Amino acid sequence: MSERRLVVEMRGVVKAFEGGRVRALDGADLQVAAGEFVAVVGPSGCGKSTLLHLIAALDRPDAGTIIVNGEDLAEERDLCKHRAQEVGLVFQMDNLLPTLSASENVQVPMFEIGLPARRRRQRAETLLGLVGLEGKGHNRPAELSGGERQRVAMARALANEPGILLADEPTGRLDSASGRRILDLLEQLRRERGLTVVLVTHDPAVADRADRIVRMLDGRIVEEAGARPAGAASRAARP
Amino acid sequence: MSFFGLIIKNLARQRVRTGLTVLGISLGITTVVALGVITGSLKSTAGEILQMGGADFMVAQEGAADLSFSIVSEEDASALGARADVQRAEGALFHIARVGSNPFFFVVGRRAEDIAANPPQLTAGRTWRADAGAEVMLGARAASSLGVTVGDSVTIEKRDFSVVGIYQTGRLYEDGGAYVPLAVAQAMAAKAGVVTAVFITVKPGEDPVAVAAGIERDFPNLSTISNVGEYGKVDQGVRMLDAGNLAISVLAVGIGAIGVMNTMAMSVFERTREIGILRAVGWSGRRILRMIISESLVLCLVSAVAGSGLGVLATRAVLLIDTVRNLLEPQYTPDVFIRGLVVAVVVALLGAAYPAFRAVRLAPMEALRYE
Repeated sequence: MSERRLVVEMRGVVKAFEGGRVRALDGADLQVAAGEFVAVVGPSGCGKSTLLHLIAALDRPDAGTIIVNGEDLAEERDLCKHRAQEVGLVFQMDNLLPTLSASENVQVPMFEIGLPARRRRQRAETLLGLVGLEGKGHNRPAELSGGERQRVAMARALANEPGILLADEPTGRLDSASGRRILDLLEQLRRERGLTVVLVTHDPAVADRADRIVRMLDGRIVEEAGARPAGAASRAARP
Repeated sequence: MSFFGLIIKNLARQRVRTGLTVLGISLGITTVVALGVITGSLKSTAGEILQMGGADFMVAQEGAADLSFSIVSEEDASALGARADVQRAEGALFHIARVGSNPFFFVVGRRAEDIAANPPQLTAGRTWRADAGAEVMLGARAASSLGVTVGDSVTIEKRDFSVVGIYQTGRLYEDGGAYVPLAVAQAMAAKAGVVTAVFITVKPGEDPVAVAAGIERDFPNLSTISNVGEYGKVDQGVRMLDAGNLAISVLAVGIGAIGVMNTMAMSVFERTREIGILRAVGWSGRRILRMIISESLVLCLVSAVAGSGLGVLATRAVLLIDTVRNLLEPQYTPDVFIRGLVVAVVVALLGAAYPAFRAVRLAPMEALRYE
């Protein structure tokens, strides 16, 4: 990991809620290298999701430094650009817009980078093909299964070709077959696109497919384990 | 999917609410357009009076509340005619009389010599004689509306007149009314020795503006009116119409803006989580702002189109009333529809301001946590 370029670097990050009474992150340090697949695990409330949200710049830390692709987020004036282009986010709930079709949902982030309508449609088709949803572009979220919706969400996360994919319990609400398919897809994307993946999970089986497992407790990273060469994870985890 | 397509989809998701909002704003714009058409038409019709007899301008009593209340003595009318810079000064008395079911029949008392010097275009019959006491010339619209022709008789305020001629001027008030000898009109109106206004034609080579200024200087009790914009000097009714029109527009904006604000605030409130998703996938506050304001603008522009159409229908419905038809010819001028459009845009921007502000201020995580 250390020989590769760092794409995420967090140092002494603190984030508190409820007027400081709840410290979700309490001096968290994390480094993620380009192309790495990192799983963040830990009990509920340990700060896993908060860590992910801060990397995605959905929130700002109270203290500490977060550097993503060499840019200190505290000095970044345009966090929208960061969210639109540097990272892609997949939530536990698919968070698709219910009135839009699958293709339109995938196109939504592309407005921010000024792609013309035709290119947006083409790129959405390509991405839906990539996640195995050819021919489902016209379907609305309500017409898709949970696994399919999550794959649409993944296609949307990749809409602006980010280098980092952040996934917050992406398989948490799926049956095991659908969950396995999502994880296969993550590995495929990382392999084919050199994507860096940071995944938050409760599930040890899911975490086991990562190159590295980062364990959190009470807002701190307490253990890092299982560092394996990139690409070894998928072979190890498959039945 | 285009940005506009997204706007339409957002509006279409709550069809009933969107439809009711459009209806509400449309009714406001209907009022603005209908009132604008009626006001403009009344002003235009009133402006036609200025052209009576091909005059350069009209002289009436300074500060009269309504032109029909204006009183100019016949001495002043003669003095105006005797001025070196005036070629012709024709005094006329306007009297509103009841004829049949029409309570606003326009009677113009004119001197026989003025008629002779500047005869109207007759479509039938002749002009009345100088000593005629019970002869009347009817405007073509009035004759048609009353169903009478030359040789018939009409009753104007309990006086029977014999119709001796029918004229056409192209001016609504005159064509919808009658010419009677000045003395007869003065007797009907109980205004002996006075006229309502004097129509001035300046001598060739004279500047009408300079002549009008000279008259106002020499006759402080009189005002000159050269165009409809100056009508307020002798007729507060036009000013009141303008003020009423403005008040209705302001009310339409106020009520419309509250309606739009309610709709857009509800829409933003319901979509809090979706706005959070849009922020999470990289949408800037400016784009969110554009989305909310565009939705509001589309709502209001659709309302403007519907309201303008309803406004035209409303004025046509009003014109089905005989009395109104004799008072105004509808003028569908662009400025009336532009006013409706401006009202719609102002309503859209005012109504969307708070919801858009709220949407932009939403922190992504706060919005995403919203259930």
